[in-house]
Order: sequence, then C-alpha cells, then structure tokens
Amino acid sequence: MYLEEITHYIMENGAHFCDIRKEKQDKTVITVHNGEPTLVRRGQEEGFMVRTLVENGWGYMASSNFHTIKKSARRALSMAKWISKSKNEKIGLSDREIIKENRAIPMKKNIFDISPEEKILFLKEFDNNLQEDSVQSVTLEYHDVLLEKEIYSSEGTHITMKIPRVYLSATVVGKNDSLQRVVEKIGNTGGFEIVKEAFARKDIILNRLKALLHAQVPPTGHMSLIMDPHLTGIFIHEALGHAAEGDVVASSHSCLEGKIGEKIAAESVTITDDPTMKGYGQYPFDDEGTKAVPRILVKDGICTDYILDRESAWKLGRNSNGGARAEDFRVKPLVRMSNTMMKPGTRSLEELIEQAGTGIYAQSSRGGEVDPAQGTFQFNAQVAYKIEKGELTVPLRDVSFSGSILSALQSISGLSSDFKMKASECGKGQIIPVSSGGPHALLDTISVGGRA
Amino acid sequence: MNENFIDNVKTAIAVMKKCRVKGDVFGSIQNTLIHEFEKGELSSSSQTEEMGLAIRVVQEGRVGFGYCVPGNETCGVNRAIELASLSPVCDVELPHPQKAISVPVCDSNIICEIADGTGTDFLNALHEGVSAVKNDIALAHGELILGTHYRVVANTEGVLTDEDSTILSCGVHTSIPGTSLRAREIRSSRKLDIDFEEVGRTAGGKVHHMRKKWGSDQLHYPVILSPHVIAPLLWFTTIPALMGEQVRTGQSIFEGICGQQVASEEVTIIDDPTRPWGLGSGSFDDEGVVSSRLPLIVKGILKGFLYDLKDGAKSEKKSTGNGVRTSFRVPPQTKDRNIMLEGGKYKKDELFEGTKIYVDKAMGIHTANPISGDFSVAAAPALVIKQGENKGRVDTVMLSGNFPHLLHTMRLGTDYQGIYFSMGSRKIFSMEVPSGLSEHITVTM
Repeated sequence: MYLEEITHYIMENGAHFCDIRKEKQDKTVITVHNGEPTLVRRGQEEGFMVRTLVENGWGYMASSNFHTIKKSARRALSMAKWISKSKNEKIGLSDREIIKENRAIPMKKNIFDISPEEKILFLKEFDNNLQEDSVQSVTLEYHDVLLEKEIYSSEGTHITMKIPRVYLSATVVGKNDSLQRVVEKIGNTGGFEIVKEAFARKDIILNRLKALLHAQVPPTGHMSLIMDPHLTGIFIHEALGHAAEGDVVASSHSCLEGKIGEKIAAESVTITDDPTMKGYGQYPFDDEGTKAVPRILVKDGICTDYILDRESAWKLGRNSNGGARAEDFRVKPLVRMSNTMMKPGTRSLEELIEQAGTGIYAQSSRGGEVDPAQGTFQFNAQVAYKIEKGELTVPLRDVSFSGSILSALQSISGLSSDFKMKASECGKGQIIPVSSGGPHALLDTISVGGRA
Repeated sequence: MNENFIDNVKTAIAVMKKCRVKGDVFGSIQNTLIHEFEKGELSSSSQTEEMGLAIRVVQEGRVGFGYCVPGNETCGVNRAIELASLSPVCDVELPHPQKAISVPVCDSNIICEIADGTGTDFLNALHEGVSAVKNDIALAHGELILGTHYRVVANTEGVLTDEDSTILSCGVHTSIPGTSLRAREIRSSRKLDIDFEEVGRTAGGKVHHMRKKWGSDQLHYPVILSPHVIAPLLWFTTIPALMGEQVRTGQSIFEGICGQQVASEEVTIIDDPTRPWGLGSGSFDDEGVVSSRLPLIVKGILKGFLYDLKDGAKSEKKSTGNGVRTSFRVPPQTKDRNIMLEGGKYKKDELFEGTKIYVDKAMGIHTANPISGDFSVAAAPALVIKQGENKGRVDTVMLSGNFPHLLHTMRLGTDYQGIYFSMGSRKIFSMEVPSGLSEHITVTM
C-alpha cells in the first residue's frame, strides 16, 4: 500500500508525525434560470495532502499529481524542518484512538441513479412553482457531490469514508419600487431525496418576498430582537461557535479563552455542535482521522467545551473531539463547526412577541461575521417586522445587528419550543458545509443598524 | 513542463475537432506557497500545486462543460459533449486569433522565492516595523502568500495563447497583549516589492491608535471609509449591477439608464486589466479574448456593462473580455478583473478637516444587498479624528446606507491602494481604490 510506504519514508527521514489525506470528488452542478437550464456541469477530481510535523514545525504539501507523491512528501518534510529550526513554541498532538475503519453515509436515492435530465426536470417544476406576478426572476442552483476520503497516519490510523451531499439554493427576485431578493437554501448529507423538501419552502419564499417588496428601512438604535430559528442558528454560529474554535482559543485570539466553567450566557442557553447528527455539516471522522463526537459548548449558560483538533486540544490540555475540517485536499485542516444548535425552550413565538412589547422580529439571514478576539459580531436578516405594543406590524428590510458576544448571550430572555436547522456555508479562508439552528430566541437588547 | 501541458491542451482541441464540435480549453497550473506566523514566529509552511483542464464544447449552439486532469482529455471532451445536449441553444461565438497585447504580471523573483525562500526575512522585517511603533505591540499572527499561475487558452478557431503571472500577498495582525485590541494590515502586489517593514509599522500603528477610548456618545460626524472598506463595499453592492447578465435579467439598478448620471462627476469606474502589474491584470481573459480598458462609469455617467462570451451572446453584445474562471473546475463567468475607482483628488488633510469618524475595517460587508446596494455593517472599530488627530476608538458602531447612492456625494481621497481579496488560491476581486468621505452614512452607536 503506497500511502503506508510514503509515511514510512517521511518518518525514517526525521519526522515525528505525518499523515496523508487523499480525496476524490464527483460533482454535478446544474443552474436553472427562469425555467431554462443555464449551466450543467459535471467533473471528477482527486488529489492529496501530505502533512508532516518535525519537532515544532509543520509542513504541508498538496497536489493533484499522484505521480509525484514522493517528491511532495520530501517537500512537506523540508518545509517542516525549516520551520522547526526557527520555532520555539512547543507543538504536540493530543492522544487518540488508532482507528481502522470504512464508513459511508447512505443515500436513499443515489445521486448517480438520477440522470441530469431528471434533475433538470425537477428544477423546472420547482421553478414553475415559484413563478408569480410579483416575481421578476428565479434562479435555482443545484449541487450534488460524492466525496471519498482516505486518511493514513504514521500512528497507524487508516480510514476511508464516503460522504454524499446535496444542496439547492433558490434566489427569487421581485420588483416594485425597488428590487428585492430572497435566498432560501436546502442542504444535507444523503441523496436526491433531500431536494423534495424544496416544495414545502415555496410559501415561505414568496411570503418573504412580498414582505420585502413592501418593507421599510429599519429603525436604528438598541432594542429587543426576536430571531427566527434560522437566525438563531446564524447568531450562535457567529457569536459563539467561531469563538469556541480551539485554534483561536489556544492562540489567545478568542474572548472565550479561559472561560470553561464560567457563566457566559443566560441560564436557559445550551449550545451544541454535533457532526454525528444528520445535517449538512455531518461527517463520521474529521480530516485528521479522529472520530467525530458531539460537543456541548454551553450548558445551562456555562461554557463547557471548545471545538478541538489534536493540536489545539494538546495546547489546551484536552482531547480532540474531531473538529479538524478542510475544504478539500488543497488546504490544511482547521478547527471548524459542523451542525451547531441551540436547545429549544418552552415558550411560544406569540409569548415572546408579547414579552418583547417593542422591538424587531427578524427572519432568515444573508450571513454574518465575527471578530472572536475582540468579542464582537455582526449578522443580518433577510426580512424583519416591527414589534409594536406586543404585535407584529410593518415589514423591514436590510436589518443588521451587532454587539458583544458575551453581552448578547447574557441578554437571551426567552426561547420557544419549536426548532429548525438550516444548511449554510462557512468561510474561514476555506468554505465548508455546515448547518445551524435552534428555536425562536428573544434578546433583550441589541444594536440595530438601521437608517430610519 | 509548460510544453507538455500545452500538448495536453492541443490534444483536447484535436479530440473536439475529431468529434466535429467547436469548443475551447482553459488549462491552469497553479502553485501557491503560504508561510503562516503565530505569536511572532513562523508556525507552518504549506504548498499547493494543481493543474487541470477546463473543457467547453459548443454543439449545435448548445454549450457543455467538463473538466479533467491532463491525460484525460478524451474523457473530458466526451463528458462536455454529453452535457451540451441538456443546455438551451445559445450562439456563443468563439474568438478568432487576435493580436496579443503584453501586460507585465510576472515577477521571476517571486518564482525564485517559492523555490528557495523560507519566509524568515519577511518575518524579520515585519518585526522591525511593528517594534518601531512601540515595544508593547505584538505581531500576533498572519500569513504571506506567494503564488504563480500559468494559464493557457486554446479554441477550435485557432486561438492559442498563454501567460504566466505571480502574486504576493501579506496579511498581518497586531495586538496589544493583555487587551482585546487587534488590528490588521493587508498588502498585495504582482511583484516582490512590498516593504515589509512598512507593513509592520502600519499594522503596529493601527493597533496603537486604538488604545484610547472615545469618551462621548456623540457620533454625528461624517464618515471616512478606508480603501479596505471601500473596495469590498463597491464590489458587493455596485459591481453586481454592472454585470450585463444582471441587466438583461432585470436584476440591476442600472437597467435602462445607460448614458445617465449615476454618480458624482468625481467618480469614474474603469475595469482595466491592461494596467501594468495590476492585481487583476492579464493579456487576455479566460476565454482567450484580448484584454482592453473598459469604462463603466465615467465622470458619473454610466457607460457600459461587463460581458463574457455567453452573456454577451444572450444580450447581443460582444464580450468585453470579462470571461473569468475562479478555477479550471468552473465554467467562465462574467466578472470584473481589475477595477479602478478613479477621480480621487482630496488629500488626507482635506478629508480629515474638522471632526470625522474613520473606519479601516468593517464586519459583514458580504451581507450587503447586491441587488439594491443597501448595506449595514459593523465598524471594527471606528476612530474619532479631530483636525487629523486621533481622539479615541468607539467599539460598537454600525454604519448603514446605500452605496450606489453614496457615490453621488462621496469625496474620494488620493491615497490609492491595491486591494486583493482571495479565498485560498481563488481570487475573489482586485481593485485600486482610495479612501472615501461621506456625510450620508447612518451611524448607530
């Protein structure tokens, strides 16, 4: 087996650890605009990354050329050696179980059994469902991919896994006095069965667009905010999840450094990140070959864990919980989230609106950003409504929120009993599939960047 | 290496001709070396090399795409032919050989540095710059990216053109240990000409200016956005409206108003991939169309839109040389290449006259509305400047407005900076922009 030979070669030439991650992707992308397929693309690619640790220095070499894998191994080794010469800070890897296992996430409807013609037909039907008078254009983007990975480490871990993922985004543009856009995304691990869910989103998309076309610019200042489950997911992803990533904690770039055991959120708040649950961010082993396990990041308001790879776990005196993920073979694994969620509460949305009295009810999101070191975040809603005298009134557009992570988590004063997860993509120099969600959540006060 | 690779490209074209289809091939070899540093030390080096062929065929007016690694050309062409049958008819006319222009974009010093460099010299220079500001400022983390890109475009009409380019990008984060204060400076160039000591000084100076907190809740002042904020705001809110396909499909605020005033007379926006050493420059686009300087908005008047071959065909326009592939795995898309926001004339002391809010970094610019141009972002942080003197930082400030509307009144500075934004080895955008002063941004504290 040549991966074993290469790792032996690297270890015999002065490395303390090495692994090789081999990846193969078979991906189909179809875009349909106003009922016409505008792009149908399919391609396969494969490549590998050699990762080498010498003393305290890492060297990484990635290539799509398997004929030169030994040369790549030599290059990774030489890079690790030059880094180790100048680096004083110690590096170690947390212990882990040596695993030899093959895993495949099943597909109910195999993506390779459905022809491109059938996929286009489905997209045309969904497009047709979204066409209404107020709709100017509909763009559907469908992706399916089968990702095959093989990880071999110098410690003896040897894993192969197959992860199929399907993703569909619908961008619907409407026009009256202004142009407005709604984006809805569906994604999960599994097969073509995933896209069936699209039809259930039709009314949500069209109602949101109608609201946006009559929406006002939002007020500005500090006020109460009720987030829908999608926005709650984006909020915990941005405000807590990134700050709980072990690499930023271990390098002192997170406001959660040293907070384990401390109260950082309201008592009702429990937040987990779970790569083992069904969702767009699901994976059985991380990209270091560590078994993925659920992590409870916050329990009843207390900070209880971080997301960890082997290096950050070693630095923080903990064990890896399988948090190392790479976008593809070209890049090294970083500590990343998977399926991040807030545990639901016991209230209804109506009760939360009544409790807020005055404020904003915001739905869905165009994304957000966080500065984990400064402990500040920003995220944005697709559409929102004013809450006046305990009732929803006028729709609002382009509403963004910002604040301090720790203050915002403390200001959560109500959680509903309903719960939803949603697929999205997360960027940290690399883009990976994740999902996030939770219940409706009431924040007593947050800064709203409005214009009125 | 490149000769063999060109042979792979020629093989793909020969397979197309044998199958009696028209088409083009985009071949790409990318080599990227990244040195990362953490807590003032080099922490890792990583290198990625990849090569591949993007194949596009046109069969009876239908376009199909595939991609493959060199050596699998027949398979790649056959897959593209299969998929072409599923596409609607779109009369893409492939370019014929044109007289090539020469745009300098490749620096052999960067190629040597990738082969032999260890990143140590750059790191030492950064350290010197940071410590020159004040000795309690730390070089927290950052990265130095050195890249080469060889691309070749060939088609069944006889085009065969190739080009080498290089890129150097340095991102530095400084901090004041024991505080949550952090600052960032990013510089990019096609050449190995970045003054790393100066980059360190700038990054150190930025965090140094954050020490003092602004003591008042009064923030009703005009806002100055640095080039690091202007560039992404322009790209996320205004450039999408300049895409021909957005106009054709009714998703552009500029639809039907070509020739009209859409910005102040001081604003000119050009896409100029012919600019020597421009961060997005190149002799031809990724469809083999020769590059040219394209005026989009001139003295506030809307002059035109961007097209690749396919979008041009749909709108009955010629390609403007804006067919861009972010990798060989994706088909060309209409994209800006090297945007210049021209017209800046205000010197620093003129912009900073009186009291101003200065924002060098903002969070959430990507959440701006690409259709309407509305934005609401968080300054990270904002500084209050009086008569050019820093009076302190404000940590949580939100800035909201509509960027295309702001261009009617924005005053542009003379402090032009090249801004290159990438995700790994994928270029997202590159621009040359100055700072901008606006009195119409809503500020929420």
